Amino acid sequence: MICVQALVERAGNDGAAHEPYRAFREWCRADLARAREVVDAALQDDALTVSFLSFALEAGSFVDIAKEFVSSYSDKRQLAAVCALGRCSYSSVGQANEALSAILDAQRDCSDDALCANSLVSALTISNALPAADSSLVQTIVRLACEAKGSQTRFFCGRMLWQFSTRLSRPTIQNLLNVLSSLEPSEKGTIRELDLGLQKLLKTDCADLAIRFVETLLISAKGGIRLPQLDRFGKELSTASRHHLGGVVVRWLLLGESVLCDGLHEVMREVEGGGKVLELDLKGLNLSAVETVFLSRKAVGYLFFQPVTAASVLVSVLRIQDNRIIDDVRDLLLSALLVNFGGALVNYLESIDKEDPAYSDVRWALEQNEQYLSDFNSIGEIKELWPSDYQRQIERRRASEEGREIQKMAEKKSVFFGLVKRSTILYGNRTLAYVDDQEGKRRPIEVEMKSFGATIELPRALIVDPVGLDYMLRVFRAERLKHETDHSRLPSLT
Amino acid sequence: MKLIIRDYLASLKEREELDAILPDLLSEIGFTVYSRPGRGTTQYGVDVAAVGEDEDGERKVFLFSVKQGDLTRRDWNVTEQSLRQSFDDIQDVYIPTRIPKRYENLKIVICACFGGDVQEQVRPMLTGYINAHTTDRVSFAEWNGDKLAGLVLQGILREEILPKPLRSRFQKAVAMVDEPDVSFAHFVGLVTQLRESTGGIQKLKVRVARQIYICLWILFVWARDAGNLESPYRASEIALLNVWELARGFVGKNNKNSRAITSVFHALIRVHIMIVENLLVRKILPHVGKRHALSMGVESRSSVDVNLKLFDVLGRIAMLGLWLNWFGQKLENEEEAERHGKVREIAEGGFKLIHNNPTLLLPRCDHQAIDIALFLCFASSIEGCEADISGWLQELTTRLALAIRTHGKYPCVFGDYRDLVDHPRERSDEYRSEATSGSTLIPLVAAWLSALGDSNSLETISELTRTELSHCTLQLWLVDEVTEEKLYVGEHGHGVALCDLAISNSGKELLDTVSEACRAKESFSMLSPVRTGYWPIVLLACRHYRHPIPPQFWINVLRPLADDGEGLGSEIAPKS
Repeated sequence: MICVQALVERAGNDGAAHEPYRAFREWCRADLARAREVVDAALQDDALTVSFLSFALEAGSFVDIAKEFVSSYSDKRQLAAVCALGRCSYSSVGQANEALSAILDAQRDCSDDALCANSLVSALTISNALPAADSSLVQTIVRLACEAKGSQTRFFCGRMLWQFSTRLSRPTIQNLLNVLSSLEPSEKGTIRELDLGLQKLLKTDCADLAIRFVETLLISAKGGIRLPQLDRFGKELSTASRHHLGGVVVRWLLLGESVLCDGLHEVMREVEGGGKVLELDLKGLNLSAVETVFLSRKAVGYLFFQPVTAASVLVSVLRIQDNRIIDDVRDLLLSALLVNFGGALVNYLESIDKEDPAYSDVRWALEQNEQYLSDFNSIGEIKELWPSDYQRQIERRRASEEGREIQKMAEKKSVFFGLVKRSTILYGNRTLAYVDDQEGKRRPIEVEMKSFGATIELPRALIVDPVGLDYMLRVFRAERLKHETDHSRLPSLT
Repeated sequence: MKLIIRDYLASLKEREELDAILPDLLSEIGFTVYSRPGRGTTQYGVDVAAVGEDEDGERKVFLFSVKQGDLTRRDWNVTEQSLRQSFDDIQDVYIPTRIPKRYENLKIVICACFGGDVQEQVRPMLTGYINAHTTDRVSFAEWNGDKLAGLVLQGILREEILPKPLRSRFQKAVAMVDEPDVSFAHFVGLVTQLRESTGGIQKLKVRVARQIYICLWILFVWARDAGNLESPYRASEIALLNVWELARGFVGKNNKNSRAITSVFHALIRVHIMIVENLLVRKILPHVGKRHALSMGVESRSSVDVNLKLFDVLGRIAMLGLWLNWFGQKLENEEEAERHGKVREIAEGGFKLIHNNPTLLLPRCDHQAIDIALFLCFASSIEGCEADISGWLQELTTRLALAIRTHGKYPCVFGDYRDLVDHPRERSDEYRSEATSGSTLIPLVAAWLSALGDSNSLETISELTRTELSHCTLQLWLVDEVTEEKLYVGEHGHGVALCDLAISNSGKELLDTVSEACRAKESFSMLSPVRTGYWPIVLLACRHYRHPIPPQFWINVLRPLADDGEGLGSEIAPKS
């Protein structure tokens, strides 16, 4: 045990730090006398042995002994026993229910965070292993644990979400999320667990709970927690079905909370090619003209750098064919998006079918855009307007330095750069290197190089009107409705 | 060198262009020009008339009929303006009725003057005509491109007065027109050395003025053919300013040298306007109504380039309008009506430029207040522009406040391009304080907002100056007693900064202070262009050398005229 303890301590924060405990448990399982010896020593309150009690109880599946520890002690031994009950193998449902009762008894009138957290984990683990176990006992344990709302409980709530996401009942998920709503920005480990849990929840029928929870959490944290911290959730959301993602987009844009809309921007950011096409079902929402324009401007304000996504929101709005707002929205499509972006955006708009209700308005915007482009192509070369060679040289140098900085930052962020050896090839498009093989011979290894790259289209306004662009985006982002949208009219998310 | 000049002469596109330089060429080789080209009056075939020595040493009257480029069949005998018709008119009408009495006894040479050559198929007809009409008194001569180029080289640009190093500078200026910075630098070198070579001798000043004029013409024509007028535009400004420096002592005096240099100066103004019109009216203004077109025409990935270039264009448009206003003070009704329409079009063009190129809604550096002031002076002289001015300044104020508060691309004090490209280098209060340590833009805008009664925008500026810009030295620039000696040759280190201007919500104190300072400083009215009525020269010098526009040019537009100090506000407006 001293040896195992030392190994675990030495491993520190390594992900595999607890592996020696697993080995210890197997060692006990190989000869249950060893497990009993540990249990006996724990009864004598031997400090070292108490740390290993749960492994010994688990190795022998000593359910009765564990129950005894739970009911007789209120120190670390009780905690170890509660933990072990979650891992024991049960011969019958009745035995499992007895274990759950023991846990519940210990938990009553106790607000110890560690005990609540372990009770929660054990109850849900038993329930998962034996679905026929008494669910009311499980629910009660979960409810009591959730009432405690300690940081350890929150951590394990997060873990339970991803560990058992598909098997947790809707009320249980709601309970766990309730506990997590008091999450502090400093609880980074818990946020990671929660992120995993939310990611998994998005794939279940309870996705709506996850999304609403994120809404509440981000708004109440007032910027302390932002969507990029829920990275996996964000990625999952961005790849969710159009309908699902569309619902979130409409909901969050109409709520107009910057932390949510910024989150949308983050969620969409990873998508290349101008962004993802959203198809929003707005007809059933009965939005007023003001709300619809508000939604459109928010989409432009926050999704500007994913022009295809922003345009797809506007196209969805145009599909409603509300005469009160058509002019405003198609003007947004033209003057905010088409004037700034070509490429993917134009391709998307041109792909809109003739039968589409938005077709004629989109055509109008495209034709206006063609006129705009032909106007500035028509001026030809006016050499007198060109910057001097000196100015071009300085600008090139600045751009190159900026590019180098971006590359450095990207390399710092890259997972691969820390893992692989980096070679800089100055000439040629293949590499040849010799390595020693197992037989001691030198073997040539030839690697053909391929190019890869990513493109990003910068808005034209960054050159012709950067201040105006900044101003427009700030206004669109900051503006609020005089009368807030009735939440009951927001997309239901289910 | 002769090749450059021949090519230049052959490239003169308009007949008037050759008309314009011929009198100065003749004067420089010793002729007395007694009749110059005039528009709208019948000349009976004579474009320029002069008296001088012929190759045989005899003093004769020379009557020039000028045609452009090569002499073609069409030029010879097809239209009413053909050379044969001109020759006939000269013999039938001009010689019997128009030769001044004092020259009646002199023999007459009728000169066919053109920039190129006589085309082969015309030669026999010309020779036949000359043989048939030559008399004891009247003879004919052919002054083609080669002869004219020879005259230029033997006369105005002869080696003794334009030595090799200067010729080299001139040749480089011409050769590098497609790299305007280099071309202009050589032209500046040439003009400066020429001006400094006069040693205060009056006759030499006249000659140097003519040399500068001819050199500018040649540069302009070459650049026009190359499709890049940037170098001649800037060169024409520097030429005007340097010739003013030579001429300012003469203006208003009535002697031979004064008349000669004033004449060259006026001719130079005409060339300058011609260059400006070629650039602005033909190339820029047709596109001002197209959204972002001119911004994209800068063909740069940097928003700084777009901003710098378009404010420069706006300043140039304003200067053209102001020059036309100046001409307006000298014109009669019919021409004035034509000019008035032209000026209005230019002002509308300026506003379209602003409307369609939003970079003009906020300058990137403080010295662009010069271009803003010029355009305000010009636009305010046009009736009905108040709403456009007001809208522009209002938007400028909104953007100024936003950019400053968000550490965006706000106007800074830096002038170096490298600093501007990086601006804002940091989004910190410390950097912003450094970048906005002084401002001429804010008092200028505040004064106009105050006069326009835009209290909301004024309040925004006032609040900025109390908060984020509380450290900023708000200032305007006034000329002083040394300015006259330094302004036209581009020397800095003169003038007075009118500092610590307070901007209240009404702006009244600001206007009062500026008015009072303008009244107290008499130096402005002592400036030679102001004294002699050539006030656009001061504005041109300020634009070219990047001095703020003295408030005397606009304060009277803003103040009730009852407050009349020594400002010019009402004079920059057209007569009507």
